[in-house]
Amino acid sequence: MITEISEQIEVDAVFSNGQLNPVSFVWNKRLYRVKKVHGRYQDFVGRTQRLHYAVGAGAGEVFEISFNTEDMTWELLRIHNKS
Amino acid sequence: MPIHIDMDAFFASIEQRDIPLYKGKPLIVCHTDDALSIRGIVSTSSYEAREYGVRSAMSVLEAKRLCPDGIYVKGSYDKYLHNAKTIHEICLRYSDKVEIYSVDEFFIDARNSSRLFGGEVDIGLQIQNKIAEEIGLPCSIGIGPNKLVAKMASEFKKPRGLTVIEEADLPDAFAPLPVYKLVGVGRKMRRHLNSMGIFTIGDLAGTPEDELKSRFGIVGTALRQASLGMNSSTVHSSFNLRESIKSFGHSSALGKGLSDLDRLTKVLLGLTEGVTRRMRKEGYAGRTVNIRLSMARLFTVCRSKSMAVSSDLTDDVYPMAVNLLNKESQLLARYPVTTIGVSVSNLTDMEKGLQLSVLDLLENRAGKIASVMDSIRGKFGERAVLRASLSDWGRRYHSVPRLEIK
Repeated sequence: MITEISEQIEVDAVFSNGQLNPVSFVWNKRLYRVKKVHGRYQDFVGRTQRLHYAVGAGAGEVFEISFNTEDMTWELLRIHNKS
Repeated sequence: MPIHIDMDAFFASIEQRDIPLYKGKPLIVCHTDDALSIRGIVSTSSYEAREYGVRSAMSVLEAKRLCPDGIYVKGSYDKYLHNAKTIHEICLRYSDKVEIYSVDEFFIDARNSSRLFGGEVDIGLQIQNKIAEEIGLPCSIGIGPNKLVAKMASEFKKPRGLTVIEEADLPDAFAPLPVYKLVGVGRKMRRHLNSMGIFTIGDLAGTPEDELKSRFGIVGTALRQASLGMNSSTVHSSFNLRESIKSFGHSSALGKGLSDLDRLTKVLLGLTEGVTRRMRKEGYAGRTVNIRLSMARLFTVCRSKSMAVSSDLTDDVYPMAVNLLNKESQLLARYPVTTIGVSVSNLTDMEKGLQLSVLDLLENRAGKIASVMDSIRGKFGERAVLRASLSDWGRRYHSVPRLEIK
């Protein structure tokens, strides 16, 4: 099931191997540790570059998050889960 | 011998890799503003969804009827392009002659690198493994004496297959295959060939060339040569994905259908805006305007007309598209349009120069307006400014420029 969220979130991320990698994030007052980055890509809205990640966290869920390089904010776009 | 790399269910495989929950499930990637909309078109589907009969270019409505429990996701074309660039880079490690045939197909001429990496089979296997290791995507490899045979060979074993067809295997290797498996034979040509009693590639190869030539002209000769596995094109190095662009097009599925000419012209305007915006962003102008109408899902009408000079402006392309649509008014009265598409082909790369008309030099108001609209969209996003005639239609029947390209 896909649940559209589109909420701003707080993310801890590290720069390694020339890439920005999310490590953990807080959503709904709960801390999620990123177990795996399944996929990543970038796109543009106007002149704003966004970095997109599909990350495995929680109990088998996949979270699509994105980093807006213009205003330096992170957004939780949607959640994919089994049910 | 050319090597053909064909990514297996490319868009769906990317989605299944990114969202592992979808592995082994019927996944349908849709070209739509909303993954749940029935008005979209299927871009591609996973092999699991294909077992239900879901195919590319089918309307989402039709796909949902065939596969109601499938997972429907909206396509992320920037994501697919990002992966295609990585695949191109992997191929370039094995040869400097890599041709980007489409976003998910590549030809490689590896004759000059056989000392480094082994023969074509070894190189094909290495590339297949590297793509799987580095970006987790499956592909099938075809190797043949020419590009046509290599491309058809890659279809033999899917997914994750490798097929070699030698010169000596021809034309027997293709003979038992249905004729629509031949590159260049679409639904319409298939019907024509079937009406002549030609059902397999072998039947086509056995038909006298004169008979095919009198029916299809020069295409008949080309078809017969193809059926024998004859092809003389060579692998052209592509420096980037840009070189594989042959046309720009947008289409929209219209649910149960639309017959009202006024409404259809508005849809056409929205689609044309999207097409010309992309052309300007990519730096192309085109001369030939094409429209494609699927009528009540029964048959498809394609019409084309060329402009006097190349253009990348809605003000030039749209009247031509409307003119082509108006010519079908009698047909529209009998059948609703279930899918409508517009494309511009016969492209000129603006980087290589464009012939201007006298009017362009005197006063180019449309060009100036488009340029201002592009600037606004470039800064604030594609929906920041729209034509007033499209504003009251919201997202219902037309697509506004959707892709953000940098």
